[in-house]
Amino acid sequence: MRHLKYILKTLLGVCFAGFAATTVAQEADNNWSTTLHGQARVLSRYYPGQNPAGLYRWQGEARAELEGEVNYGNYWKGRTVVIANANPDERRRNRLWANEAYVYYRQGHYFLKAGKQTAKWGALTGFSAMDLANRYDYYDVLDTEQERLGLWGLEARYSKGRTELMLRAFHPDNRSRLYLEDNRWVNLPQRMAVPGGEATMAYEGAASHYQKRLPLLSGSLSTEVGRVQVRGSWLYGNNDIPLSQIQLRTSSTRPVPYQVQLHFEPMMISALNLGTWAGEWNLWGEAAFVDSKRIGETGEITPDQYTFCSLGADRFWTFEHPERHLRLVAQFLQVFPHQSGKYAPTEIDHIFQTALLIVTELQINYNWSAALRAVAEFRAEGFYLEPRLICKAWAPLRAELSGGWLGGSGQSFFGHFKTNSRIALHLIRPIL
Amino acid sequence: MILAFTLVVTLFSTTVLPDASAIMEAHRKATAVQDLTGQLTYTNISKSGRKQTRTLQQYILRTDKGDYTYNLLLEFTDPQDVAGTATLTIQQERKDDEQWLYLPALRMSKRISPSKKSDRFMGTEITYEDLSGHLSEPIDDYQYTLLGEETINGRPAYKLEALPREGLRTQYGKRLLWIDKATHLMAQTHFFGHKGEHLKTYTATDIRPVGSGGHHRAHQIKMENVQTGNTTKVQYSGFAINAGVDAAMFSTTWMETR
Repeated sequence: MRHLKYILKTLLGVCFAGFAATTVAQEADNNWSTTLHGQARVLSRYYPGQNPAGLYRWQGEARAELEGEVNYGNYWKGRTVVIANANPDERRRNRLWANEAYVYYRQGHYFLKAGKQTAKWGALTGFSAMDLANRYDYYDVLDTEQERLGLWGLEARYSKGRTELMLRAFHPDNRSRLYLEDNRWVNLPQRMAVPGGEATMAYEGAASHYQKRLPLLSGSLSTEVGRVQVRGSWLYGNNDIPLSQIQLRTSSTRPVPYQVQLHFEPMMISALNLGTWAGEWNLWGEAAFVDSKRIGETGEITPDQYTFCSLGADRFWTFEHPERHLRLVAQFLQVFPHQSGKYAPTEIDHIFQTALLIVTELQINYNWSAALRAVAEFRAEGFYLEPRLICKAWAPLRAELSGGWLGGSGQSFFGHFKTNSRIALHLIRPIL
Repeated sequence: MILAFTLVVTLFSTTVLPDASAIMEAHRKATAVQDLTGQLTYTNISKSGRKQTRTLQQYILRTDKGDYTYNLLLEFTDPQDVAGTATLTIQQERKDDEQWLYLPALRMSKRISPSKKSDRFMGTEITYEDLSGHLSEPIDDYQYTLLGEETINGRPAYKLEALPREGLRTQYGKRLLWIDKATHLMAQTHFFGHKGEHLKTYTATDIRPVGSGGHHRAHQIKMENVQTGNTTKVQYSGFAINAGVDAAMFSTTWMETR
């Protein structure tokens, strides 16, 4: 398994070289096609609230993405996505990398994809328990849609009629990117109680620990029974969100130096999804069992098993006004823990416990749209509201102005991070 | 003498002008294909001049049910905020079509509630009923009357009236059709509501041969909504007719693995 990434890289190199050579050699063969797309993004965020650690109020970032594809008929495809990111505030975000680089082959009922590829495990219109395994760059915990990281591995599918079997295997080193230091979403300890008062603390890095370096394995079987879509999914690998413990290096010096111990523990998720419709409403739901680990109240790593249930509905409306339409997605989530204890607001795996999620978008006319993403977390008593205004009046430039309002009890993720309420401006433009 | 002249004119007319059903059968043959692929760019233009443009790749394959129903796969390629979105429609004779939607953000395809025939297709002024008729005119469902001949965009055309047969569920009370004489393609249609109000006007231009199989296609069409002032213009390119389309494309697996 350790050598899988290098074998895949070599295979990809050979395949792309083969593609390039064959493309040149077979210019007359119109089964070959190449496409190149690109887009540029500029993002600016402002946090009106002061972070407890006094971290940045402004964030700015620029990104360019280039996507290249080579196709031979409908059978072979090679794709690569190269991203260049620039961030004046966070040097780890200044990087240039190939986020995707894969080839696929399909023949009849079979499909095989190998290489670096982005993956989404949840197969639900809303949030799925399987999405806990998605790999992201967690520079911002709420805006992860554009931050899906490519993973080295294989995906194979066999489909016949309306039934499909999918298997995936990914290399153990495919992990999310975490930003423990100087990040508004991570509260590193600043002070600790010592005899006679308080002492300041100094962060001295993090160390990762694995019970086992597990590959990420998953399988799913989906079919249609009458007008009901049914999918059973299973996933096993290391939980990508580590359990963290503070380890003091010594307590005799000031400030007190400490290291964060990150424990990547095994996680298994099994899920059953159903989907159908009634009238013009699409209805869907999921029941999932999650077997993971967490830091217990005594500071020990303990089992964290829970059942995750959700029900959702979505619908699309059109109106007399020919430019106007509305899309609504609503989902109710309920987590049933198999052991006692309360989840801490910083446990990212447990942002939702008893929650209602709403996503809605109204196209006012061809130039303007308004959207709202909202979360109400009832058990931990937190909420999140993200209104968004989208302008395409200067197409192909797209501008999005959004606000993110976090609030509620400090026992909820949203209340705990309420100083991270922000406003943001996105500018997106195709460059090729 | 006058009676004889009238009789000659009448005989001449009936021999020169084909009857309406023959024209419509020729139209159906001209539009019916085993498979079709191509690219299309449509622009919705509002009454006040606002525009929305989308480009997509279309794959069409006649179903194996022996009737004039088709499988349609549409993949959006531009602009980038909708690129990758795809819809799969399996038409059913006299039943609701089956539809699936693939959204790249969700990375999954899902079965969605069937669209009503009167629903607008992808926000255009073309309804699902129009689209279905565009692929294959349901000639058994209408009663056609030949009204004469006219010139549409410089091309001679037969003018017909199409009235729905008793019991047919349709959003239109009447249609006026202009069938291009040379190619038997639809050159123009006026759509009327059940109260006789003029709803929409369809116009096809740039009719050219496609490939070597004797097929022709309009490369530009326009649908004007007379009631709202909204217009949809469609530009086609890269047509390939009966060149072979892989039946495996019309599956959710295909949409998810493009």
